[in-house]
Amino acid sequence: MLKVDAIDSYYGDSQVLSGISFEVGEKEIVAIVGNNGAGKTTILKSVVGLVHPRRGSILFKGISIEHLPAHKISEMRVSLVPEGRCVFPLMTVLENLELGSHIPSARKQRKTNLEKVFAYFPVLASIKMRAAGKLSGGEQQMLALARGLMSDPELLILDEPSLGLAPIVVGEIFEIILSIHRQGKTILLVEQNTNIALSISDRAYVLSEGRITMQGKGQSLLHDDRVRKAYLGL
Amino acid sequence: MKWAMKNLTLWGLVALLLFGPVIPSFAQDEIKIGGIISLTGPKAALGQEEKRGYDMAIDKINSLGGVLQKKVKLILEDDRFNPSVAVSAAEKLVAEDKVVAITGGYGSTETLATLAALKNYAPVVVWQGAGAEKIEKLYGKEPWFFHLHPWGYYSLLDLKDFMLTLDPKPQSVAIAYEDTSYGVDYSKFAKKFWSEAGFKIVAFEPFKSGSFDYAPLITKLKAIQPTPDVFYWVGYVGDAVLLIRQSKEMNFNPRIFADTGGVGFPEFKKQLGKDCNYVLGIDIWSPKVKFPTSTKYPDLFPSSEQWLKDYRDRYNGRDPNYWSLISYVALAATCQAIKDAGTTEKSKVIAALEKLDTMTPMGRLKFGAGSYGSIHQGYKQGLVFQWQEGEKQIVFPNNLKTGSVIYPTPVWDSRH
Amino acid sequence: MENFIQVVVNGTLISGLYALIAVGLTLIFGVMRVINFAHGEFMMLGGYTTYWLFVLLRLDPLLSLLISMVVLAGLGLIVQRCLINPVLGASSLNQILLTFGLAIILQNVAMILWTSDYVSVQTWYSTHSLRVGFVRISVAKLGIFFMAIILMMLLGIILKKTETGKVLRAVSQDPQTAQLMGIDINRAYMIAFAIGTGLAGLAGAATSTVMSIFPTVGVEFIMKAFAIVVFGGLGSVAGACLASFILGVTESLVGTYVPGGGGWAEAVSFTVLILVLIFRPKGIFSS
Repeated sequence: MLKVDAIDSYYGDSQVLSGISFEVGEKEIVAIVGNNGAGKTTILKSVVGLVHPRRGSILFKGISIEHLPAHKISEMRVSLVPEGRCVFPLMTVLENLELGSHIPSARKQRKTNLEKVFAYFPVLASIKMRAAGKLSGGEQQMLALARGLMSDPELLILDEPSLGLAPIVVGEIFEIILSIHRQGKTILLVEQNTNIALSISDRAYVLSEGRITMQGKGQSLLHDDRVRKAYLGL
Repeated sequence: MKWAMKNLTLWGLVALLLFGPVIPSFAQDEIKIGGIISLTGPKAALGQEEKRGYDMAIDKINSLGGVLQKKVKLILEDDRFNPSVAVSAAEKLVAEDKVVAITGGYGSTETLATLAALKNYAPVVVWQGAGAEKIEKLYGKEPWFFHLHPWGYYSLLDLKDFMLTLDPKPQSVAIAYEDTSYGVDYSKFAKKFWSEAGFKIVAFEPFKSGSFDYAPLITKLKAIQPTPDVFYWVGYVGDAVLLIRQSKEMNFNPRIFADTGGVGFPEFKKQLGKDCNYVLGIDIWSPKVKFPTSTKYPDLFPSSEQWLKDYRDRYNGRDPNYWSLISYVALAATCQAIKDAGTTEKSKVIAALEKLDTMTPMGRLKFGAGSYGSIHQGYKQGLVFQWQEGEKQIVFPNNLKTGSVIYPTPVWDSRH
Repeated sequence: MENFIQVVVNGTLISGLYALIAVGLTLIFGVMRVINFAHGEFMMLGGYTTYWLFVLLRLDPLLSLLISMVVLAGLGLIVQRCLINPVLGASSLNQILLTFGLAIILQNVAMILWTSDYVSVQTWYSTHSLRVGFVRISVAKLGIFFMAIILMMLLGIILKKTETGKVLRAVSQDPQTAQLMGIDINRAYMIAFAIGTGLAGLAGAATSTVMSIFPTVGVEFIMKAFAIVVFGGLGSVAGACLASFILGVTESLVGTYVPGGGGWAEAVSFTVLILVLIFRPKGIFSS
């Protein structure tokens, strides 16, 4: 579904990514793990068009998208749930969700999608008129996820969904992610929490200093000594 | 060697550049007079009007055979309404062009700067602009300084004299003034002269020119009981328009509305339509007031009607503003004085200017003492006018009036 | 007491005009993070549009108000596309220099085209006033005030209820995330700029009927508008409306009751600006 081929990305003049290649297949859940500053978020920004790679290509369902502006890529039903939630703080939960279905194809389905996400996140239904900025961290993460789902994406991309959340809430969030996956969604996941990321993913890539250093099945990487030493602190 | 040659050529060039402009001045086949006006910049419209008067004067003088058998050449400098530009223009005229006399002026600020610079050289200055009394106090006693435009306070003396002729005599006056030196100066004199004449000053309020809401001011004046007989303000034309509009809105009804600035401009009428009626103001000159041909210099100073016709013929039917006339007079009087003196020698030219006494299209010109120490003041009299049926009628002084004052001003609610 | 009511009425009426200008400015800033120093000049152009429609076609300002708004919104679109957009990524200093330069160019173009003379539109309602007991209420100003209220409510509804309004609010709160929602932020910028300049054009049109228009008329208003925008909280439409009202009434009170208040009234906005910047840099209505 998504094929990233040898991209180099820069912030200004400093190169952040070099020769990154990876793939996400239909209905797969793929994780990219690595330390803080390894370039994980930049990969995602390159995919969704917030950063344009200087070299390399990105194909989504066979169409090259590396030069498209972010909103065009969103319209192709690629949905990124950004790091740190980034809900619209002064808007209500409901308004946030409505914006999640801003793209024309989703706007028609707004009502049904809304019912679907409220089924995943019943708590959101009960606080839908509250300003998003006033929610707790866990609620905001749920809202961000729900908002990402509102466009009924073909590819759901999650950037650090566990960041800053209490362990118990992290568990809850990943439960939901798994159930979303089971419904047939393709998911690309970036996580610092290597343990949980590798344990739920079909395949995973390890990123270090802007390069992919290892790749493999989630479970096998989880048991790889090098990974355990470098990322799991074991 | 090559280097030295090159160097020599370079020096030659520099010398040429430095002394080049001086060379023509050895050939004294023309008499040079300087003019400093705002040809560009915010007051360009008035500067251009001054230039039209100059152009008429210079053509007239040269067609009458020039001065001392020489052609008169006017060297115009653009001060861009900027004091520092005015200063360098003045210095250039004196030091480089070596003019016989300097004319010019519009605003008081550049005039102050120009005169400060000219004081060191003390050339003959016949200045047609600026009315701030500060200039009179600082430079009025200088023997080389001749000033044509009435000082600002004359209009307040004129208004006072006019108000004393009204029946019943107004008792109380509310004064409002824009809060920069222009408004502060005028209001100060208004207060002084009018309270000395027995009028009671019941309000003395500053405002900021260019405000877009004078309702607070009018509300305040309206609250004074009994309603002030005279409402006098100092401001620009936009202020005048808004003050009248808001007086109408708030139904503020003094017996007299008067201003010494903005109400004289055609825009005042254009913007207010019939609401401009009954407002009083002061003009330095009016095409309606007729002055006869000069007996001494009939060619140079024709009757006011003839001058007006000449202007309109020359500028395709355009109506002059008094700035073109006063500039005409400044240049013509200067040239006549040189002629009378028979020389360009400074003391003789000054003596000739002091002796000058002639009718001009603006009225009689004779340099005399001003009220604050000046010794060479040209015009003094202003004309009090009142807007009537959308036209300015001169209502004072009596010997020049073209209509009778309508007094008291009808209340707003009774106007249709 | 009678006087006091009159004073409050005066201040209230003028605040409608303030709001029209300030809200456009705050909307542009909120969405684009650009301080539009040329905002007053758009207002000036709106005034001239109404004036010329009146002079040439005898079009009543009541009708041409809307034309002026549309014309200025269109001009805003062009300016946004051709001038503002290229510097959006640049430093704010560049943006300030650009809009400031634009302001000066527009002033000078107006001066060349129409001279610096004051012009205004004369209609029967320009100086007509209603008498309510002892209080005088200018018909034109009352009309402008109600028009401003209606427009502000309309704008409030648009921002609150419509998809476009939500898009504008989303872009103002987080432009990057807004793009992830499939929002074309360039389009949002254009809409915000056009609404802002359209409102400025309308304010200019209104001004031409009750006051005067001249090439630098915008300068007089823009300073107050900045004070209002800062006072109400940068980017806050509701804050700007409330701040307009407070400023209008305060100016009126100061102008009437403080001795020599005519000069002081003009200083109110600057005093407010400085005090707010020192003590409540996020505006007085921020929580």
